[in-house]
Amino acid sequence: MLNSRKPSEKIVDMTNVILLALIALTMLFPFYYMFVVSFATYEEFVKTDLLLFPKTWVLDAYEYILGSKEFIRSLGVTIYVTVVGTLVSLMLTAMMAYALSRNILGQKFYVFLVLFTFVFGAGMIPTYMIVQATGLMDSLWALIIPGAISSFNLIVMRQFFMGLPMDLTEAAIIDGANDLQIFSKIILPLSKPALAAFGLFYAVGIWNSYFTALLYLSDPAKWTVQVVLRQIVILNQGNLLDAGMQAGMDNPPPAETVGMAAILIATIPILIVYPFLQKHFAKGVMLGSVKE
Amino acid sequence: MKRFMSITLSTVLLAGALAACSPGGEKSSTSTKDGKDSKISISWFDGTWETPVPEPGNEAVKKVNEKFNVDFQPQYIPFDLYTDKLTVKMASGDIPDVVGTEAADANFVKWSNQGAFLPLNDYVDKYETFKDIPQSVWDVVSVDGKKYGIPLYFPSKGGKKPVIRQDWLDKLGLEMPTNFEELTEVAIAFATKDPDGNGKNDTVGLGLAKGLVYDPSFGVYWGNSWYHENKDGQLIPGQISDGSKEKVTYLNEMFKAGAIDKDWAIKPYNDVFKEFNAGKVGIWYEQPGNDKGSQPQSLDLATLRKSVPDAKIAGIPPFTAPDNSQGFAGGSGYYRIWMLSAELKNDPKKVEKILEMMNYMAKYVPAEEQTADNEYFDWIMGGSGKGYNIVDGAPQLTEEFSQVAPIALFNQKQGGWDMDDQSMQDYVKQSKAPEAKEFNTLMGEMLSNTDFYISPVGRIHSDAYNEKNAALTEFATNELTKMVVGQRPISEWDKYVDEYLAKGGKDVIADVNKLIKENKIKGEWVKAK
Repeated sequence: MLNSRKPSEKIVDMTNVILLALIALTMLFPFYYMFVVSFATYEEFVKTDLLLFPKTWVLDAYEYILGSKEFIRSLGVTIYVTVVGTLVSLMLTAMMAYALSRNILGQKFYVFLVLFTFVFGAGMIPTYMIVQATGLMDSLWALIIPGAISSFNLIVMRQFFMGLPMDLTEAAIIDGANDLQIFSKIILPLSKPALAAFGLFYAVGIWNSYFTALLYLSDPAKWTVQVVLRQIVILNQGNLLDAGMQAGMDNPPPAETVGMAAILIATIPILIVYPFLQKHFAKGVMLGSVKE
Repeated sequence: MKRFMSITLSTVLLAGALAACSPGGEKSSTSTKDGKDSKISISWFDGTWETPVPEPGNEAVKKVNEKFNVDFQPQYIPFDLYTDKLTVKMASGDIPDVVGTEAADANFVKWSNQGAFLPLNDYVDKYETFKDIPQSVWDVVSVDGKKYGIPLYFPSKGGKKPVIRQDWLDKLGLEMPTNFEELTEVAIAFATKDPDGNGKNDTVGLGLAKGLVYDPSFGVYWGNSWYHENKDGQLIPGQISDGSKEKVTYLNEMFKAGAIDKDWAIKPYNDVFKEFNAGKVGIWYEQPGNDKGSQPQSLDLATLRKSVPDAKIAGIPPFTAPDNSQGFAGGSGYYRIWMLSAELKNDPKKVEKILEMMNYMAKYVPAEEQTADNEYFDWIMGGSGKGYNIVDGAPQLTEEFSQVAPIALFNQKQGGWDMDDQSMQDYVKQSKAPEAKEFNTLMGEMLSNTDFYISPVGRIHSDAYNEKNAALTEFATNELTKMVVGQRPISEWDKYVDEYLAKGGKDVIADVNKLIKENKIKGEWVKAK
């Protein structure tokens, strides 16, 4: 392709490639930096201004984190909540979006309700009170149910369903399929790109859930990896707690390397999901943008 | 559309009403349960620095239940996240029997005024450890004379103090600075005369960090405490005092001479610790405390000596001020308070039980009595071999400590109200690393010969102060930073003070002075023995 272009265009292309590569590098560099620092010794980290390649590679930081029962446990909690939460969210969102994409009684009213919550949130304290009143407090479901349906995702998914040709449904009705069958056998298989994209949105959101976990869960055994991660990083930062951490305590490895290692460990699992969903994801961005 | 709107609104209102009712209903059901059960159930909400965070129902909780014959239901959140959750909890009306906070801050005053907490004046005299709490600290945790909080002891002499590379002084043939002029000389020499002898101009004389953290004041006269008076005899904040002007003038001189890092204004203090430990900074800060002086993330002599084997540090005693005062600003003397819910006012038995527990847990055991034979000590620490081990004559906590030791549910003891500053000496014994013992010894010696000024402002609760002080401090820090780096000439000092006063400083000063007068308190000196 490049060959068929004029020299001047080639120069533009080259500049673009270099520029984009540089931009990509600035995005990737923090990851690289986290990676090397997490393996470096503290002495070397202290002495070098910008550590690019440690002379000695050590696993202290990883041993410290992976040796902590709390971290492993919280990682398990997060994986569980993410998987269950994503499934629940996807199911509820798809079902409601589908229903609202058809001509049903009160359709407009329900869409209005959804739009209403899109614009006006209830706020933290009322939500807290609802979670408390419904008995979700201190249950992992508190991380899943209150945010199960994102009104934005719902609206976009509804647009997507509306874009599917009505003829398909009509054909299925003639063949004697009921609503549930149409939804599960025809609509959902056609909506894989949408499901993948929204699944990813939901999964990343739940994976990163931090404040809700802190707010609704009082048992440290149920805390998500983000809460524990922050604790590991903050508690290692001696000065913040000079007032507090006076009592004798074993010296953990230095905050910087542990922090970097912890971030990597907590980011990688969700990062791994991306490549598998990438092709759907690119399609997903177009969702609902053009209506046939 | 109109119809939809009205339906929607009524739905929302209904949901709101339901949500508002339910928590109340829940609470009444639990309190009736308490009545039947002979065991008193106590819900307790507090922050913690323990790691891992103590879990409800762990072994330590069981020990507390057994000892006090209660059903103890504690809940802990790491302190750096605690305020967020506490605020939501309080706002939603979900108030536990006991609530802890780090300090008597604006929220404490607000909630006290709203009647969330129980005044404890009639109770506290009955308990031994509370009797020794000084009036200055009771003032802090009281609102309108009502004692709403039980303060926990914290040595007022703690806090960051300046330290200097003694080996650099020796090498360059300089004396310990005793005033700002000498300090400037020393700092410039540290930066320009290559004290680390590597032939490179890569050292910093005076460590300074973003936001003027750890305030390079070297004495209360130049610090940010309310120490100076204006011409009307009103006490004023340090940021607008003559002392600050003098300090900033010298800092500006040092900055121009290259004795201060040229990037200091954007450098986080953690980076300065890192540079100090790498042997690049001549003057920086650390405080006495267990294992202080040997913690990789703060000042760490061990790391420093890896690159500079003969490094030696010393504390810088406070400078003598023009008014002949000589001393550091003391802390408020407490850290953390516990409040009791106002709903306990008809349940004196429960109040007494809670206070009994607090009283019991607050006793301090001096370092030499911290042995497995000491029954009390062994119990609060979770038992020898389980919560702690005695290593080289000092207790060393195990990894299970926070789950098995009852004390981890209450307080990390910093000393006792009746023990004076015993804990300062105990730091030496309790620290593990020889570098930490060395550091605490030299700091302890310096601080025991130092006078401390206790500002009266911490003892009053001024709304104007609580409301405006943070913004004023930020303004002052910004302006003083500009003056140090030469962005704003120091000749504009009077203009800066006027700006500070106009931004609300005037109201704050008026309100604070009014309250100080009303409460008949003033700044006090705690003299060295």
